[in-house]
Amino acid sequence: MSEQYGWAGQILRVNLTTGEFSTVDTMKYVPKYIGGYGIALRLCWEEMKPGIKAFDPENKVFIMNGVASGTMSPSSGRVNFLSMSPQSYPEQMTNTSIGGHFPARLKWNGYDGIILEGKSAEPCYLVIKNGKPSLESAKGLWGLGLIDSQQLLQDRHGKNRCDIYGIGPAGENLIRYAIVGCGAHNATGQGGMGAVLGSKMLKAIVLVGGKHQVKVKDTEAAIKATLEFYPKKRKRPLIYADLGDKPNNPWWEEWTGGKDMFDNHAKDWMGNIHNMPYPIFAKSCATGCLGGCGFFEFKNVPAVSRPGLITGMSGCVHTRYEQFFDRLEGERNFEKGFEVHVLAQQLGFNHHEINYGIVPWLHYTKALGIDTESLMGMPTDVRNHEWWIKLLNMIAYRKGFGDTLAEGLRRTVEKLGPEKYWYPEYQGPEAAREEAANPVKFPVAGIGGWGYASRGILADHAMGPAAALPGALCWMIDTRDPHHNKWPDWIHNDFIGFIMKEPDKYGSSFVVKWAKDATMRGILIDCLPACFQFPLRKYMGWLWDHEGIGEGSKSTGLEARLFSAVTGVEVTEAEYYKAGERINTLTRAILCRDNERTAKMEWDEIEKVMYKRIDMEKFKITVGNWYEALGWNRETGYPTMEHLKDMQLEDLAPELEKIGKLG
Amino acid sequence: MEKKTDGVSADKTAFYPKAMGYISMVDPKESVCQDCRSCEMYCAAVHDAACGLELNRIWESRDPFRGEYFAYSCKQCIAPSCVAACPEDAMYIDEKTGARCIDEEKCNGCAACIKACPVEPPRINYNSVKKKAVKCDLCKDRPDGPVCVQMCPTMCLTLKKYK
Repeated sequence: MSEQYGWAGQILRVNLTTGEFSTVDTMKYVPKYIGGYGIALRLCWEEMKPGIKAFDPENKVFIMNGVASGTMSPSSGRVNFLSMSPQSYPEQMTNTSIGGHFPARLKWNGYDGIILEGKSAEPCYLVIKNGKPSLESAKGLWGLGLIDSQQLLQDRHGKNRCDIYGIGPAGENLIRYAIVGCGAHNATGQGGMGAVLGSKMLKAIVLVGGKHQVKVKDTEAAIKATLEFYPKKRKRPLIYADLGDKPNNPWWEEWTGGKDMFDNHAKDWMGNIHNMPYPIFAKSCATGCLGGCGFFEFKNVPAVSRPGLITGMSGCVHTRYEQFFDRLEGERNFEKGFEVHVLAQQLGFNHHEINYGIVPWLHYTKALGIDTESLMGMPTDVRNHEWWIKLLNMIAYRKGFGDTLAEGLRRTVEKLGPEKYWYPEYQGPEAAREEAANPVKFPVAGIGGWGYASRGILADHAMGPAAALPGALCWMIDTRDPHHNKWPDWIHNDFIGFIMKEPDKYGSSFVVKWAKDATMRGILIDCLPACFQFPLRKYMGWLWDHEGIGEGSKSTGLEARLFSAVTGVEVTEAEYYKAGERINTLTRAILCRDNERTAKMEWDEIEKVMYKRIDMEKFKITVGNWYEALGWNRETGYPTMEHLKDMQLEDLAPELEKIGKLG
Repeated sequence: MEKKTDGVSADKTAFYPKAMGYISMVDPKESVCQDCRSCEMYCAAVHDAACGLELNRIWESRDPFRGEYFAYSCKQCIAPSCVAACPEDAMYIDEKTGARCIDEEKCNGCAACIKACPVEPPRINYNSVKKKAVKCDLCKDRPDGPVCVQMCPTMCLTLKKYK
């Protein structure tokens, strides 16, 4: 490449122990590893080693934006965090992404990423101002809420001049599912990256200014590709609407792709908030978002338990806070849920773990007469906002049983005894939505693979065992909930045909293709980057399929075109997909080398969290087919030499061979 | 008084023809900004084949803690003090659109136009790499018109016509 497009060309390395800064040359890793997640993985392979725990100073955090970040490529305002995850059970290398305007500003400060290593002796925060890094004392910030500390930092560094990622008390106190967040809403979600930053005594990263200019090879080509998939343009005034009601929800058709079969999904997942006496504003979450897919910002909502006005956002998993309250008798119920919601964000929690894990667990165990109330030291009442406030504070500050819950639900039930506290089956109304269309029938602890409380695994089960198969395959090879970065459950609009007509579901090649496409797409999205909702164009009103570039929502064609338009590196869709396969196998190599990953380990895990819903004997065939389709030995799950050569990853072979993990 | 147009330098006493309009937000009752900054990105990319804070001719102001987002750009003033302030006659009026434009070849990067801009913050950016002032030209050479209006997903931007 005679000229450098897209990539900034360097990654900032920050040693928090010594306070030293240095840089890594990005161009050594591209275009082979594309950007973002791909580069982070390669750095992880080169710099990490077995035995490092999440809170060890030796653990590193790779924070990588993508090749298209800082450009107009749609929804490119995302970074990936990759590190040893304290939330994963057991601790494993995990990635998670977050939006906001930080990713673009990182590029404008001249960096493709940041590597955090070591541990500061005192609370600190990292400032990068016009490309120049410095470490500042966080003594006046440590202990503040995630939103409060950002406001203070914004005042200090200038509104519209800075973008911030930070942690709340949950991160400081090493709650294993603490988030890194920005604004009033954005979060790294799964993985516990906030706790990793807390362990390093790093309160926040503040980006100020930025003079780097990101060259784009072919602007018009990028515009053309984007317009082909552009969301349906429509005006978005502030409106009053009832999102839980089809006729009153203006986004309903977009959420369902205009297909009645997704009505329940729209209602039960995104739209089931009722009785909002405030105007709804659909806000984007990341630079370049064209969708505004279903996150709603409410401002100046009066708090209930204290004086004050609250601004925050709700949508997706977040809406569950409001759902616990919004149809109760009495007044100000939406406000109660919203106050609890924004408190959880202030404290810096992963909402999945709270909303799909801990709170339903306390509710369901009580319903079954399993005593968790004496552990908590208070009666469980999920319809009482004051109970929620006590619960969240107990966990964030590790008070009483909150200290156990701070370890996450999986570690909690493993400690208490899974036979009594995990596996007993609850059947009845769902915890948040007693009027939901389908009652749940599920273990009291709604735990998916590798320790993650998950909406996805519940959704899979609701659709039946066959629909759960691709999700199970994705769970197996991952280290986290794949339902928010791979989306195995919704990528194929012809899955109904598979469920209805395929005679041999476990032996079907379609299941494997479904899971593989989801995996590669998720990986490539994290490299470009794009929003994880990108493949779900149906929810954003994007065209379902597009003949011009393949299968539209089922393909990575648009991503490949955007990559080429930004970088000038011409790739076909097939070549781009293959880069995804390469990165997937690199992930595998790291897990095998550093995290003791074996086929038996993941079989045991997936068997446990499938809860006897699928035929495990038949599933063995599916798994063998799955490994083989990924280029791995169908018995051991280790990458084969032939596949490594095909992926141009031969250099991984010696280390894998040394530990007996070459397939 | 003679109207000064494209190719003719605009001297300090000239009467300037009105621009056809300027980039503005629509009434909030009609649509609002969703805080995506697409307008900034596409603006920079179309003009400079690159994106960066110093290349925008349109800006989004945002406060996520108050839920306030709005976009602003050059008002294409009827009496453009920026044009009058330029010591190099680098500013001119586009014949077709009336946009107040900067001739990059002539601009010496003195930033007098930025200082002369009567609104706060100034609606003219400064590219410190090229040492040139940059401002909204209503995408005068673009067949599809202003790219910010074209690509805004909420249709909250419009070319507000001067009457």
